[in-house]
Amino acid sequence: MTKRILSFLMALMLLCGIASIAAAEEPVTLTIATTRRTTDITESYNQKNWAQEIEKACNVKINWIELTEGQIEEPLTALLAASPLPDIFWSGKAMSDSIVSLNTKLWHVITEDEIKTYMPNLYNFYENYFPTWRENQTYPDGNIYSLPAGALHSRMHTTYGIQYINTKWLERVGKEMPTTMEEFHDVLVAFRDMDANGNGDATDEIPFDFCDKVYTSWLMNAAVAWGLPIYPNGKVYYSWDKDGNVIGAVNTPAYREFIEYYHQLGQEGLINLEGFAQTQDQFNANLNADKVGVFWAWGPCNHITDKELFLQFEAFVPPAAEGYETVLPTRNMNFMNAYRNGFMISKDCKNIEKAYEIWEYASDPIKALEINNGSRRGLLWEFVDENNEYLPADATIEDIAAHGFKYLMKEFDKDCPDGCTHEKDAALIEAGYEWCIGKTYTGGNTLGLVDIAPLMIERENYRTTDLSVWGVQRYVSLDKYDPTFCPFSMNSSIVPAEAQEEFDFSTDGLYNIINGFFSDAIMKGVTDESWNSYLADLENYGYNYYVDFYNKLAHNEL
Amino acid sequence: MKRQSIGDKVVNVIFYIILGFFVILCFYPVWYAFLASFSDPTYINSGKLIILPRGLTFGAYKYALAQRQLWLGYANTILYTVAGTLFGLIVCLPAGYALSRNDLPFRKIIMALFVFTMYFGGGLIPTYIVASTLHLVNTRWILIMFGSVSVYNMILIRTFCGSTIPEELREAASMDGCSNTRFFFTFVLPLSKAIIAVIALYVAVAHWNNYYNALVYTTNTKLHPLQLYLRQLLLVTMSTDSVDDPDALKEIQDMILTIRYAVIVISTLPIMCLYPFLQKYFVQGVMIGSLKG
Repeated sequence: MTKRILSFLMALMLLCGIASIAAAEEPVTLTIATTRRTTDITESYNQKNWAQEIEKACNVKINWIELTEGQIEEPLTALLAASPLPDIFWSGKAMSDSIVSLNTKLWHVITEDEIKTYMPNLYNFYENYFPTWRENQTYPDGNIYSLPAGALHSRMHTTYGIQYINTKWLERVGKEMPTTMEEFHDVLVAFRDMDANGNGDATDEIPFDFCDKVYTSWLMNAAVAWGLPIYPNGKVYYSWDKDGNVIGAVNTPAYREFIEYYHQLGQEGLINLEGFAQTQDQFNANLNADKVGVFWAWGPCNHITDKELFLQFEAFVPPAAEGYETVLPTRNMNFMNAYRNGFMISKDCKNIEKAYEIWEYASDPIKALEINNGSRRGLLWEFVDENNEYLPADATIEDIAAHGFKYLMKEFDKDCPDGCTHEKDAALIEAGYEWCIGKTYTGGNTLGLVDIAPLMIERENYRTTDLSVWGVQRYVSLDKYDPTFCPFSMNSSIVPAEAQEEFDFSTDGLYNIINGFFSDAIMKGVTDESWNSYLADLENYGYNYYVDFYNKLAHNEL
Repeated sequence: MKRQSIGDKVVNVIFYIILGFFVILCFYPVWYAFLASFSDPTYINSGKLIILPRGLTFGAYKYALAQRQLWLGYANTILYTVAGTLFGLIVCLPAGYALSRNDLPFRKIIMALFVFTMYFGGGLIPTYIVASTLHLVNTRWILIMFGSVSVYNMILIRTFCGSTIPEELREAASMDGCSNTRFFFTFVLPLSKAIIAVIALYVAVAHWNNYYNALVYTTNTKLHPLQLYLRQLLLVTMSTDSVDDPDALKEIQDMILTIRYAVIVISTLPIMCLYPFLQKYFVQGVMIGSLKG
């Protein structure tokens, strides 16, 4: 009898053990709200190789809530009103500081102990490379609600648009790269009057083109030659004094001189005045038709399809106007260049540990590259050595580090499996080619990606000087601009919600005044009367408040 | 036939000129989209495309029709339009008829409550919470049901029934033992073909063009209608969401440049083909609201 009871008890214990193991292996289900690129060829994130790997590695089942980029605002607002909330918001730049500040009750408060415990690698990364991470992530109420994601530190992002000139045109008109304003003017005149593009028609050249619909190509960018590091797309209408104080820019004599100069160029037919109205497509069409001599952009390859044509363009620093120095706006190159609220855990999340585990896993440099590039290593991208030879697939992270941690996109067709074409999306997805038509992920990348992987902090990508490689043209061009970068950049601390609200209210309409006057003045010119009226408008619409606000922000006084 | 005076002829000519101008104003954008869908994007962007296609190409259609999302969107739109229209009719017709009956208890109060919703809505968030609580978010049901019940349509039906279904007919039927339900199906519906056609058309067009509900209430791309896909294509280049990633922006632009006009044509073609046949019902719809019974 005793034997039977013992046997029964042992069997029971065995069953309980098996059951508990089975229960432990049951994947945890988490809901993640994220952003989705319009060109994504997958039907759902569940199809993505990297997403499947996260599920496998972290033993989770992820329900993705995918918000399509470009139309996120309303769905996100509705989602925040829902109950229960998604467990995780992995939504990159979609989550603004204001949304976080105004909804603090919706978020799980992230503690340093939790980061240390559940994400040791990421914690070490923060500590080693960004000792100020606590200050940067702490909201005015003293809590941390989010972890950063996306670009953090990249040479490519030092500034915004830069100026390019067609060197082939320079050759044809027999001019050198201009170094003074007079030479610049002469070059534009030559572009206008001669058959600079060599098509036999001397009337179709646009010496200088711009487009106010393209964030890097605004005409106002050219104010840098008057020492004004304005970035209109980012609503940066201020300048800096030598002590790092924010001062006015668009109300200065320098700004007026800049407008008068470009108005004159417009009158002489040297700039395309349609730039204020033309669409990006029209701008691109001009560039692709080889009609443009000078323009501002991120890089020529972003607008020009033909490789031979975009390689004709070379960056050149705008010559300084007389009595001024050229100063380009500099982006904040510290920790907060990342999207501050890239990763957030909601208060409804029941598995905080798993949420952290996912983020730790996805922050691994190679995983992050896979997420960013939408494909497994070796398919669409691979690490390269100093000779741009692909490293062997079994190269370890140490080998890669020794080679500078750079990677290049592989040629698509080179590794495309047999019968796999752009039209056969399913085959592409199956083969891991999620990137083919468009990058599959936007704005919500993890911390350890492309530009910001720990190893890359010291050794940046694109060591190659092969300009035909995507983006390299800009990368190498930035060397020329080094001396012109503004030594100061805006503090990206979190602005308290009330201060932001007051700022928005006090400066309502200000940007329209600035941009409206600018385009009007370029077209019609500036008179003392129009200038004084504009200055009065600036005052009425809160420009002084605007400058004061940014000065306080720069000095952490908000 | 009475001969027209010179003054009449002049006035007619002026009217034709004005009408012609408005016809061009309305027709040209449609024609331009059609042309652009067959033309090389270079000509479109350089402003050289005016009357006839240039750089004739079918590449945009080839590419657009190969997009799985487009076909999926098409199928969804057809489903939402058909099911939504049926649902709208099933709900609106009995409601409109009931409201037309003088013997409906609390008729005026019910009507006032309906009208109240025409001026005051709950707003996005409360509506979303209701939908979420009812487990309608991310389902096809929400896209079929939302927007199907229109108070305006209900008022049209009420007016129509009130003015065309005689009270005497119902009394006679009632004396013969006809129930309300039977009267509705046997008499009201057959006599209301015109208003049914009008309301069906209104609801169907609203469903065909609707993207907003899908935008807010669904995140699953498998549920998205064609119009939402089209909106994504048209808006994404204007969005600042992508600007920090110029490489990606370029890819998106290239793709959109190729197919957006083709997608516009593909998405509007069915409705354009139907319009000539349904136009008379639109006219009737306008008249129904304006005539006194």
